[in-house]
Amino acid sequence: MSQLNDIALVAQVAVFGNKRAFDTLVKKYQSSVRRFFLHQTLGDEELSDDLAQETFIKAYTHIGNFKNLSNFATWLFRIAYNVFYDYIRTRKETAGLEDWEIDADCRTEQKNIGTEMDIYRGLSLLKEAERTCITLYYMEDLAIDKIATVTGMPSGTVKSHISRGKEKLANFLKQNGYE
Amino acid sequence: MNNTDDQLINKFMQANKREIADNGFSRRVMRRLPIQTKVFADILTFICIVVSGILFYVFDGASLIYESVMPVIRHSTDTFIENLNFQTLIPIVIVITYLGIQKAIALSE
Repeated sequence: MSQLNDIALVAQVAVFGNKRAFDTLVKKYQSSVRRFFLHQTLGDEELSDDLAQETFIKAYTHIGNFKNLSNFATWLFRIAYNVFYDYIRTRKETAGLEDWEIDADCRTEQKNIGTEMDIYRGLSLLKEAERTCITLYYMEDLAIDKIATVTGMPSGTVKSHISRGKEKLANFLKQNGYE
Repeated sequence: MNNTDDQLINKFMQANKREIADNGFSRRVMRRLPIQTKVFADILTFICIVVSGILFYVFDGASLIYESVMPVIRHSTDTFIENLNFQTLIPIVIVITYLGIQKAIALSE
């Protein structure tokens, strides 16, 4: 039902340029897209909001490319994923960073404390791809095949990233008394 | 990776999953949206115009319009002439004549 509703809204945006329909989509998905970026950037709210805005603007300008082969949420996360990795690439080009440095570079000082701090500390131990797969799997409840669609990775690779990410996170949680 | 670890991670992640309040985010996005060239709308409009033109030609739309409009015009004209009271025209003719004379005098001065 929700998916049908999304398709109806997308059709209104694509055919009639109905901005009100797009506003409804933004309101519906803003939380999950911003949360996705928040986890990728290890809690940088300002950067997350900028990247989320860019994601929605790209979705709006390319809405004609939505072919309904995947649902709207998956399509939106694919754009978000590309926006984030474009950002990483730009940062890498301008700063001349190596892969291993990117994780640390994207990490910012956290104003939150407690468990929220722990989630970012835990996620910072993962590689970019592991973090993406883990957050999409656990936080956004996407199935393995959907994550493969979002990231463009084979399903087997997604499973490997999730498995390695889980192992690192489990160790981190145990070391920090979460048992 | 055992089942306990899996449960531990799942519990931890779910505990940290929070909904983010809009707080003007969608308004900022809507403000930044570019003016979209409505390609689909333009194509749709063009197709509708072409189809309408073809149907108009195939079904001889001009004749249909002529046949339906002309009786109405004829009927209205006939009714108007039949109901015309020449006595009501006298004041109008007097006023127009008066105004005409005034204009002629003004021009001759």
